[in-house]
Amino acid sequence: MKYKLIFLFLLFTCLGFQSSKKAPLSARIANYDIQVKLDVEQKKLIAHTKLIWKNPSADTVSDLQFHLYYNAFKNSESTFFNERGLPALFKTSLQEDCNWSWVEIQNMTDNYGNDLAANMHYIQPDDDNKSDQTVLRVPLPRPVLPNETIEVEFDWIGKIPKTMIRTGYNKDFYFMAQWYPKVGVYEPAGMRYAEKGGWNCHQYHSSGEYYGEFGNYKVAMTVPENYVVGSSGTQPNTPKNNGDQTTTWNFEVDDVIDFAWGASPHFVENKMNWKGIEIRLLTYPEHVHFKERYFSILPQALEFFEENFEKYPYPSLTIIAPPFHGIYTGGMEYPTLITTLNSCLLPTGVRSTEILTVHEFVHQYFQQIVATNEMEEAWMDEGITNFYEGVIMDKIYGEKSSTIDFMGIKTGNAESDRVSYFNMENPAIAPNSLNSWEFPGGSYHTIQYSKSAVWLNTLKRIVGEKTFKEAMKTYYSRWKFKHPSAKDFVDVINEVVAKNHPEEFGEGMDWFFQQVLYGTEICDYAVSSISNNNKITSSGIFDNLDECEKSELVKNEKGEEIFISNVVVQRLGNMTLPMEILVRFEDGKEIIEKWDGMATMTTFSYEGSQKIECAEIDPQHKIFLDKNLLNNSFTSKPNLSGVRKYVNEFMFWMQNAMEGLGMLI
Amino acid sequence: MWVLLYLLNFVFALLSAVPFSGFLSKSIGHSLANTNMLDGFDYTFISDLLREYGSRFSVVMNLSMGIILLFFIFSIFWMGGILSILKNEENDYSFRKFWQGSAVFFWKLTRLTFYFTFFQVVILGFFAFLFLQQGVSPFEVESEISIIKSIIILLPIYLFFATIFFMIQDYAKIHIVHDDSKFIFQPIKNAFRFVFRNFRKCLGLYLLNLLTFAAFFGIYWILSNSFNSNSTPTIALLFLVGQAFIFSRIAVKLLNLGSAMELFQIEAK
Repeated sequence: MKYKLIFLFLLFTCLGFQSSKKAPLSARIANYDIQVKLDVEQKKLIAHTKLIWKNPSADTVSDLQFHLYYNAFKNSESTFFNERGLPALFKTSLQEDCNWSWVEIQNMTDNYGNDLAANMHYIQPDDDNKSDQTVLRVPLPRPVLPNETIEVEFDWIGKIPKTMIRTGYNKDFYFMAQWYPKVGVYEPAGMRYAEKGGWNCHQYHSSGEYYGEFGNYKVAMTVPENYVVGSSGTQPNTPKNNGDQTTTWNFEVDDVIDFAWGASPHFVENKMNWKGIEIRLLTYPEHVHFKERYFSILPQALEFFEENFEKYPYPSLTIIAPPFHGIYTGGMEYPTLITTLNSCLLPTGVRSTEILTVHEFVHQYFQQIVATNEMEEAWMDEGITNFYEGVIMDKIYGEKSSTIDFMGIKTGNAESDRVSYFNMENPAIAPNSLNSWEFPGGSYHTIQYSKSAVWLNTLKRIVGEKTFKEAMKTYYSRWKFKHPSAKDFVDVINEVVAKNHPEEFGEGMDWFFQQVLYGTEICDYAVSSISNNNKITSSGIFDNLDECEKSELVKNEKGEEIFISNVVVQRLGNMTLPMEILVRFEDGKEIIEKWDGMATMTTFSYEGSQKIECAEIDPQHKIFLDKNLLNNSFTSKPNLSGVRKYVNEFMFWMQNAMEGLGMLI
Repeated sequence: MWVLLYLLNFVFALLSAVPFSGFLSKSIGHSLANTNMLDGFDYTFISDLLREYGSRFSVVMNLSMGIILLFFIFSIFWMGGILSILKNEENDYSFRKFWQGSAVFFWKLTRLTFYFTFFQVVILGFFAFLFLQQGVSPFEVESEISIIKSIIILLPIYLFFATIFFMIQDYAKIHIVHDDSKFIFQPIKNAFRFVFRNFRKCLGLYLLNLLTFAAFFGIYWILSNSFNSNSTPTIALLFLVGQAFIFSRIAVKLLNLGSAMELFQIEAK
């Protein structure tokens, strides 16, 4: 008995030990140990990094490549500023006060004692712009052999920008994103589009975001003692006061692609726990009342993803709500940390707080866990995220009021994507498949965010919610903690759709993706007319010149007149999708017609005693991609009740406008 | 006069409502989406309508703007007639008197309108300048609370000054009609003097009339939101409620001018 108890004790102890040491979720290629000091006087980061990088390929790797994002703000000729132009708000600060920011590596050695700094140099893989110093190549005297690990240590200094894009300081608020020299992603042959192994390390561009390798982070931040730090990851211990008016905060997080943090003496901390996940909210005092909104919406988003995908795999999630003067750092996603935006000026019915919280949270799954390349295929994170933002918001607040519900003005989230996409000057300006920096005329955002969400919505409705859900779950399960490409996404969709609908969609949905993802086609189908004409007998002279046959109304055996009825449908856009057309007769009988949607015009004809009352193309409203939903239906007789209502309101407001202007007299 | 002013307002509004109705009927009269309009504001519907048929809509809107401007000019014209009737010295309430007053004072009231519009723009510009001086850029202010505080402090002061000038304008109109002087600067000067001599009475009366207007608007708001106008009878009911509000709005305008005229005549004696 005693031995049994000892055995059971040992067994549970071992099990407990094992469960506390969770198996790696990712390949943990790039692992960082960073000690950083925030110098609030000089606006600098003074840091030491130890990087442990594992060669994930069968190649011998002879160099490392690093992103030095802060160098995008180093001079006016950087690729970032060339593409964007110097922001008007910053011109004086940059050009006259010389407040450029930068990051400089002061030394670098590997674990064999080799000096790596001597030969490191900037490269410009995207545009050959020699003034751009955002990518650093570090040749390795001793190359990294297949599956071997290298340890690199270096000291570096970063000059923090005044809140630029997503990062920087303003007054005593600091948000540190893209703040450290970050190694690129080495893509072995066969990964994504790589035919041979090589670094994927793009320069910092004005459009597009990031691409990072999975790894573990241990970061120690030393900040003034009155500052509160919010960060990716969790704290293994309490902050340590160093006795020199500084405090060191430690944070750790495993299996992530990036690390961000923020600090301010004014942060007010609020916490909640959701199924073992610690949610930490850091706001400024004037925004504390937003706490309920964050703590209400975030658990609903977590619940949605647990139901539809898998449970959020990290133990913590931090929300930093920047103050008004830190507004340019808001609305961004980092592993286990999101930034939002809110303003006391906005009424509750304007749901920007909820939208941003949901959006940035969805990125935890699509970008941080399914770690796509945002520089090359931004739709895979922004588009999918925008789509799920719409699904969650519409589910919670209603599809016609999930974005704004204020003073009678109501807009839905998914419908806002559709409106945003089609209200572009040229919705066919670019396909989704371009590199982020190649989008013409500032079209990046609308095409990657809105158009993608609209066609994903259409895809869901075409293949059915169940199949779509299964496909997306499969995609997530297969590619979590990896780096899929668009092709991988399409393959999963095709696989699940072909499995669930072999008859209907054959090999899958390539015909769809060719148009919406790789093409710029616009969808617009219309019912252009309905006609109901009496059927009459033939008239005229046929065989006998003396006999002239006169036309007569044709009637059926019940004595009812017979009508020849036509519905004319048109394809006004260049996108072709299979369509259903609902035809309703005056006696209430309905017919569903199938049309391949290929011809520019098709007529459906009927003969019978009932006239057609109305016809509607896409009656189940599957084709969210249709540019004009108003021409999707046609009634044989005009239906003017809605018109009357609007005319009434228009007239009322005209009368008030006339009287209102009369106040000036 | 009350009915006449309402009818004029109605006819002018109808001039733009008819083409608007034509535009909607032609664009979506045969569409089932038409019924979406019955449920109130529909973002998708309105966006598609403006995007796909926007060129036709802009023609209607330009026409409507023109009609509003035309009504504005006519309103200046009618103001002389209204004040002549309200002056009521000869107990003559005829149309002849109305049109005669309209013609006689048109040019003077036009100039007065121009000057006071200019004053209002200057006041608005001054307060906008003060507001912007506090800073609105994230780099200038600590938080949006300071913007809200600026609004809370400046908006009532602005409204107070704007109200004073609207009030003075009313008494200037009365002086123009009453004095029938050649130039309008003397009536403006007299109006300033009158208002500041009888400030509490003038302001009290003006606020009382504003309150009356607010009460009518409140009744309209409650009534129009108490039912859904999604069928022909309820659309007709909403139309009647709306017209009742317009009718009451014109009444308040006349009440304001009439009571100011009365105050002026009492104080002038």
